[in-house]
Amino acid sequence: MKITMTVFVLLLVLELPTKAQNSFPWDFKIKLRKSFQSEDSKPEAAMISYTKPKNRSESFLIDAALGLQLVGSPNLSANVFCEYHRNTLVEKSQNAIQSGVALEWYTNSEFNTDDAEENSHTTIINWTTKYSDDIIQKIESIQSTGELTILLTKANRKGCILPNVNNRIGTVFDFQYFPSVGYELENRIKCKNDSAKGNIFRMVGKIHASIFPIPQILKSSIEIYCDFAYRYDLINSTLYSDYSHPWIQTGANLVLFDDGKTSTKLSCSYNTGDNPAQGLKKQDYILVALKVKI
Amino acid sequence: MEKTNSSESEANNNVVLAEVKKVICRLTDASENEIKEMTNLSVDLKMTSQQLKSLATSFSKIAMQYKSSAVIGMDECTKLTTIKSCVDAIMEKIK
Repeated sequence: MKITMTVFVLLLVLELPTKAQNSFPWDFKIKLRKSFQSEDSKPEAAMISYTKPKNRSESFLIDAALGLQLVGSPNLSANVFCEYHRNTLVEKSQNAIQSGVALEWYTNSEFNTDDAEENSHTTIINWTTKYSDDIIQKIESIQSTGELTILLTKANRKGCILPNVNNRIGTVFDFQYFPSVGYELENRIKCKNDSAKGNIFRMVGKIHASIFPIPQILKSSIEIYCDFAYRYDLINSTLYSDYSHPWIQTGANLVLFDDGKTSTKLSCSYNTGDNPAQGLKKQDYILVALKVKI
Repeated sequence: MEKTNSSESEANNNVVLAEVKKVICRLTDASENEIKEMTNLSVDLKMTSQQLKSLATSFSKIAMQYKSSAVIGMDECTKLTTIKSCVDAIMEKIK
């Protein structure tokens, strides 16, 4: 009889202040989370899983990012980071290291203050530049990404469903959607074969939509979501000519426990398309996960 | 403006509470009266992460009126989920 032994699953979000600096706006702080990539505006827990089945090879799932916050300004955040992503649980495994700098900037510092107009808005810009080493695909590259979205006050609503805010549709459900547009630039320094070497410049459009059914009764414990990202290569000097890269994740989260500080979620999702976490390799899989945040 | 005694501290707390309610009122679906008359200050405001980060900007403006170095960074916004936690965050900064 085969026995599968899961040794441990550790999920953490940590923030440790280091020695405080006096000169504003420097504010150094060490952080541990799943990723510092722009779409993770809500930090998710770092995840480490090791499974050793009897008479079979071991498997890993590691999604962890260590960062140092540089700026503690109200409308600007800057971090240097180092991430490690390893996954041997799917058909095409992942083993990648990334290191770089990430900025998040709310351009209107007067947004939502007395000095602003009632119907003010702010643009949110996320920018990341990093070195990436994909050990499986043997690709070393410098990557830069930028994306922007917008945040408005409720005076802008005028019957519209606003982006990046919670929209209550009667008492039936809450609806949120998070659209963004941006670019991705990749300069491949080293590749297993020369045909993959070169520069790629892509335009990116993303939208994440969530529905929380009957939120007042279920206390937003059920989330049904869909993530869609579309990338198109405007410049591609490599010999690969696959210019179009759709990626869809759709699924549901069931919150089993949440006291604001710690939470446990059961999550099920269907993922298909060109996975950006794996160098846009085609993937098609169902993921069922228990997420614990400590 | 530094706090000197408990009565001034209480006054500041009420002023900050009013300022916080005004800021939150502009972002959420709740009406001005709903927010103004809200007595349970621990109700989750259901703000998205982008809204929470924007609160950091607004609340820094309030806090800096009392203490020039009282900046609420974007990374601190995740705790600004209720009116009470917003007021507490500002009061903590201006101590």
